[in-house]
Amino acid sequence: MEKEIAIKLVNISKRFKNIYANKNVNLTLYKGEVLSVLGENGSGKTTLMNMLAGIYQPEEGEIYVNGELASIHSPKDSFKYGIGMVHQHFKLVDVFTAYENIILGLDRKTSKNTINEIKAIAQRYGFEVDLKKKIHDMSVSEKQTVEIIKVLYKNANVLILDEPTAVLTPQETNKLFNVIKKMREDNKSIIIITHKLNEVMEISDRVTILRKGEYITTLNTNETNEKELTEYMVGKKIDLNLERLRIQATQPILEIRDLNVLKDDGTVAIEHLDFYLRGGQILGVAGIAGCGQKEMCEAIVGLRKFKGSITHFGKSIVGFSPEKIKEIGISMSFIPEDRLGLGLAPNLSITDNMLLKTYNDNKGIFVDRTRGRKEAEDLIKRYNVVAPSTEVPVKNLSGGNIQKILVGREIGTNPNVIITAYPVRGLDINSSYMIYDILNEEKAKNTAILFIGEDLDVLMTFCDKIMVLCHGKNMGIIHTKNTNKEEIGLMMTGALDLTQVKKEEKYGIAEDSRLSEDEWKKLREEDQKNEDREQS
Amino acid sequence: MKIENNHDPLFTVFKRENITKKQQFLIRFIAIATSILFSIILCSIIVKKDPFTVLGIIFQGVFIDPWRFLENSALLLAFGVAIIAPFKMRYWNMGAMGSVMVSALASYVLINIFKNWVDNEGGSNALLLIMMFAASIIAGIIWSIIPAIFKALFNTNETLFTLMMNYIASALTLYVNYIMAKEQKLNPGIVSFYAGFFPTIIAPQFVPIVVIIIITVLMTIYMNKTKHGYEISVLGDSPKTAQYVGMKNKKIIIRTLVLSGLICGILGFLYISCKDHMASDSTGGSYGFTGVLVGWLSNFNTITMAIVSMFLTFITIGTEKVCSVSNVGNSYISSIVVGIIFFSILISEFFIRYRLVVKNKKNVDTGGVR
Amino acid sequence: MATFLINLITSAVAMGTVFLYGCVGETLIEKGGNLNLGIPGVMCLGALGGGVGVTLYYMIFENEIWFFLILFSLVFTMIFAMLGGLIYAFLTVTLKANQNVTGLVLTTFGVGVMKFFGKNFNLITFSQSSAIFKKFFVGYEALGDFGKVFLSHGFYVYLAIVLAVLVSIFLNKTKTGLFLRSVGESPQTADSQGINVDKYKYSAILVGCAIAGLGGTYYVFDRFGGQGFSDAAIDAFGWLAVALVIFSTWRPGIGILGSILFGGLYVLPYCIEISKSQIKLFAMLPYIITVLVLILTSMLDAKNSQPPNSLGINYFREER
Repeated sequence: MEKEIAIKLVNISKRFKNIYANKNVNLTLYKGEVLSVLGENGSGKTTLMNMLAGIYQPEEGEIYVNGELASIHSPKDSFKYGIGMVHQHFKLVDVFTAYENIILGLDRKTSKNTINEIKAIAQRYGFEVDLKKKIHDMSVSEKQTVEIIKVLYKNANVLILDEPTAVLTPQETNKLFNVIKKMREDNKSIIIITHKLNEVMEISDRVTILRKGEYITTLNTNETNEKELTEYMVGKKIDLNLERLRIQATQPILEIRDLNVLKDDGTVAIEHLDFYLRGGQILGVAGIAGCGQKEMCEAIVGLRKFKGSITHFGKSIVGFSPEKIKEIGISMSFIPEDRLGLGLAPNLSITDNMLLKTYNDNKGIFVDRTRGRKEAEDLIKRYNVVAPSTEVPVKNLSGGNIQKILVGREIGTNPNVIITAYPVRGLDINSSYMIYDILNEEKAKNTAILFIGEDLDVLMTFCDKIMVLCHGKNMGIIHTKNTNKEEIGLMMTGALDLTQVKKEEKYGIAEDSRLSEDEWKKLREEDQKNEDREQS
Repeated sequence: MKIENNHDPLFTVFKRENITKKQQFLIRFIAIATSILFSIILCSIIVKKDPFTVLGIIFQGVFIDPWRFLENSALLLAFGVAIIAPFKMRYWNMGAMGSVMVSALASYVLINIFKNWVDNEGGSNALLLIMMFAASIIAGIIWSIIPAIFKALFNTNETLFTLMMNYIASALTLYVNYIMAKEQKLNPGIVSFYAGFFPTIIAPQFVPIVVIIIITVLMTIYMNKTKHGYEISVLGDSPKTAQYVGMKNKKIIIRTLVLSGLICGILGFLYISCKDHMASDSTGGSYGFTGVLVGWLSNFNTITMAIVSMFLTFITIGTEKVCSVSNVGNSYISSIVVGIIFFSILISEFFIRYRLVVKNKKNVDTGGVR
Repeated sequence: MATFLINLITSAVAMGTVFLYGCVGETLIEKGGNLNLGIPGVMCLGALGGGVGVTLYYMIFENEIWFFLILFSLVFTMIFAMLGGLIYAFLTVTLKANQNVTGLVLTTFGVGVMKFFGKNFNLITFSQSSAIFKKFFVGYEALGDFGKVFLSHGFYVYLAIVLAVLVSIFLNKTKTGLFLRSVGESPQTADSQGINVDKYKYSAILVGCAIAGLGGTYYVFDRFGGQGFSDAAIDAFGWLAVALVIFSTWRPGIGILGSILFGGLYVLPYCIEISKSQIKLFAMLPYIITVLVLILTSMLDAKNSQPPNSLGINYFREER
């Protein structure tokens, strides 16, 4: 069966900072097929696709569209060739309506008919969308719908979806996959950028694998399996089993009861959450991105107002300032999507960044940079950070090295509680393992660890227990050895709520709590009194 | 046919990653040299003299009164120093001019109230000077922190707020001047020649210059060595990070603007006690905005700021002299020259941050850039 | 009382026009994501251009012919103002220079250029031409108060209002206006949709400056009697125009009303019997009101009254 070729990339190369993001990459896309582009973070998938979309321009190589050499210098050129891309970070104007976003950049005249045409497209692929709704009032999946309609309305025959499922629930993902299948039936070609193997297997006809910017191979999905794909993706056979350190856990160190936190916009982030952390134990937190993880972390370390009780070694820390909480040994490292936004000052030197949390420790009005420099040197040595000197701005380092500095600094303060969110975000495998090792070392020192992660496989193998959040509610806390991915997946979407199924089990309340129930009651009453006083 | 075909733009812009200090210096030097050359040619066309004569007059104009040159440079530097802390914090304080004006006004009001006491009733001039100093500082700080408080509380846009504060200050100055004239049946232009005057040491300009140098040195230490300076650079670089490590962002914003207002207050006091001896809506002159430009383009480096201030003052005084000896035009020639110099510095900044790569070969070398 | 009000409103409209030009021009520029603090300078350059236009007119014609005189002033005002805009656009859009700094330099430069070169004009012919600038409709006196308030002004006043309405329609009703707003809100998005960000920014800046520049010429020739370029307070009015943009929350329609309010506050002390000291006090009011609006909109955090999202930030495609 000979299919028509829609797009052919030949020997594409592109460099950033003199380092190849793509080197001699080849790719062929047929009409009416779904092609996955698979690779780890940083393997150059997005860069490659951005060249098709006209965001970047290749330094070398050729792009053929429908067999003819194409010249793509701008997104506009890309539309002309019928290529449309849905970026991972949506390209939508927040204060515009869906309709206004869809017609952005359109050369054609708009008329009353335009709305009907858009509606027709939505109907054909089974989308539901309110064209008059403003983007800032939309959920993530609604925004994605607008993005896809936008691309389709511009008559794209080639759709590129960059990590489309990263922010979706499994149900929403299914819906999206149905849409993709319909588009394939319409003889459209779809490229999905992903690093999720199960999705590759489920949706795509073929899969192209990139590793460190280089083209590795292209396989037919039905002739391969996840194990083989992993090998191609990571290069060498890797031991998927992380080491789970088995040690005796201590009495709870941090206990949290009835935590309620609001988001910036006043909506509920965390609702009636109970949980506790033991020393020498890692509690993983699973959940779709943005369902209260960040707000929970911020509440614990004193950066966000909350209602409820938090005790540390049996003593209430409600109302403590971030500084005080740092002093008693609770440390948090939160790696945001851009990696630099929280915890580090990108334009300052490594030395200055080391001092961020401790600059106030010495007496007097001056900053003790000698100490900072020494700490920076120690950290560079200990974690093999690649940096020309301690005085270079942090932003000049690579992502992995930046994260090592952040996580290393947090752990360097000798905390008894570590809260870490997405510590391996965007790291290559070796760096990730280094971070896991660091955390395991801390666990061996009887530190209590809260690990908020993205990758269920990692959570399942690395953590002792997993707490699942869904829209700020606790869906249950389970020992990883007693559960499986499917169960956690169901809990993440709210389809399964263990706290309702097994009501007799008290989820998140330690049997060997440091405080008796009466003491908790008293504490709660005091907190409530304080809250009331604040309100009045 | 390759992708690089004739539809390609002539060159592509890439962001520079590494640039040596030497390259930076060279680019800036070329920019400034070109703009001076251009300015001198412009002047020589306007006054219809040859460029070398013009250059001679410029030097003559500057060195005929070196104190004036030094004082003007110092004042410009001071306006720059007053805004570096807020600017480093990414707080665009355009209001130094207004703060200086109201603090000068505060001193001036006190002179008017107490001049009879000092001149005729044996009052202490030292006491008056101390009161003026305190009043100026308080006025400068108040003017400076009003926008800061709203920035801290509601994130109100400070660029526009502080700009507006300048014009409120100038209207206030005119109003108070008028009231004083009316109440005291005095011409506000005529003042005592003793009350509120700082004693002259060496030259009238000496005290302001020394004070400004001391302020500059202290600010350099404050910005680079102290915990406060450290907090300012963290907050300017990443407000979220500052918050995450437990810095009190609002407190830092207000504290920094208190400091900025303090410097403006001292400056206002110097204007009244050592320089103009009266407050008007032109107190501070054009230094307000030029100081902003000096502070920003010197990248918060006080030594660079001092050099830039002297250079700008040199060219300003010089070109004004050229026009005045030739009976051509007014002092606004200096605004034009300053404009040209800054335009050319802005252009040079581009070449420091970006790099043009001409696309004429198949395999373009973009080494060192992204 | 009635006469007083009519006089007040009439002068308020006339004075407000200066601010309205600046406001409409700056709104257009800001909607494209550029904060142009060079507006006072641009208005000065415009006024200088107006002077050049009128001077050239008298080189060709001997008597005042309304149409050609206005045409000459319009064309040269726009050319000069656009040259200022071109400098600003080149520096901030092409060379990605800091917008605040570039704007302030442009203001310094523009004010200097006008006040330096403006002194060479022939002020006698200028005062003759001023009468032409002030008349547009004939026979409005017959219509009584209505005629006075609405029809007694010069051509530039009506042009300002027409431009404000046109810009408002352009921004809110046309596709090109939508594209321009998308550039100001999120240039990344606009770029990914094939909208040429630089082209839109350049166009907005050039047209916006051309409009703002008209305010300078209007002030000098209509309000100031064609006199004294070197002491015209155009730069101070320029800042009021920038203030008016905030006051109008980026809506030229509200800008028309706002300009009358600002104009009213400016002329009120001259219309009522108050002491001179109070006149000085009144001069603060427009700025204070702008500050209050600034505070209020930030306190309410109203989604629809916020500045364009990328205002003041330059766009470079390959920046990640």
